[in-house]
Amino acid sequence: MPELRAVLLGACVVVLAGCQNYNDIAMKIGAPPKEAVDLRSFEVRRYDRVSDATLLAAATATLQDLGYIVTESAPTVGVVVASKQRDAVETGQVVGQVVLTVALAALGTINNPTWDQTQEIHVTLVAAPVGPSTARDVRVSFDRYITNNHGQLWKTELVMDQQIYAEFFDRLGTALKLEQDG
Amino acid sequence: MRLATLARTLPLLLILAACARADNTPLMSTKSPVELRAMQSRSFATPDRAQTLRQVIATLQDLGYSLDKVEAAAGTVTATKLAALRMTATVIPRGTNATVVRANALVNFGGRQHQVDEPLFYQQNFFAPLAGAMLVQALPGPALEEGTAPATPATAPPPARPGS
Repeated sequence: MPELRAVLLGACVVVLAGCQNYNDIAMKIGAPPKEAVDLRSFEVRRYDRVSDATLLAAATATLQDLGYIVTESAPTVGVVVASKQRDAVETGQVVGQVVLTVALAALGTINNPTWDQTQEIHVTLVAAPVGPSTARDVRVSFDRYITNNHGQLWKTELVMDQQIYAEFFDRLGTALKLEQDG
Repeated sequence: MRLATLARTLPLLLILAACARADNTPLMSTKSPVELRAMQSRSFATPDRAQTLRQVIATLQDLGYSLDKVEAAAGTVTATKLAALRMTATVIPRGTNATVVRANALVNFGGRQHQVDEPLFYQQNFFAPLAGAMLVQALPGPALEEGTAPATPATAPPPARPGS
């Protein structure tokens, strides 16, 4: 009986998912991230007594130091966008997939092993003045698109690792000092 | 005879099939331009177009979009969220005391892009947060030490005013 219930529940979920249209999908994807407050807390740093030009020069240099290619720059509104591609293969994931494929083959089921192959990391950096003061808020956000070993884009996510943001701001602080010292 | 005909036409069919491309043209909404304009536009009581553009950018970043293209002179921003939802927002001056923001979104669904034509999407997932950001920006920020994270506003943003 529990199996039958599970099958019926699964069937209902499939039917309901099938009823979704493009607007429903847009509503879900477009909703503010649940972790928006947490994200903001580690995505934003405030810098005082710094010009837009100095800040953007330091930010661009930091991104280039980290291996990013700048893809968009709009200095009048404090925007720099950059991306880089990196290997995403994790040995554990590959081994797991191969073992699963062998195990399923022994049971007579064909499995196409799939693992993360490459990742494209996007970074959006926006510097904004804080009121009429000389302070600037820098907000940086990272997200990554992962392509599998079949060449398909199969995962997209906002990067939530605080350490990555902390390291970026440490480097930006150093670059700012270098820019200000000339 | 039939086999010979098939042998002659098959390569031609294969060549033609190889030349055919998947249709990537976005499927546009069937709603009227008036309906679309109403759901996609809001008017804000500020003549400051540059500041409004900055707030549009900040809102998109808040919502988890990554920026693709920013044309400050034209007042346009294009951004993508999780490789599936793409939005273009345009900031247009209206008279001497107002600025209109118009947003248009496309979503990937079933292998094609569809123009989003749900009023709630634009209101809840863009204009309400934008109105909140514009209100917060109008308030002076607290002084902080260099390189520290500013406080996050804890209040929910008020809804945007219906636009023209």
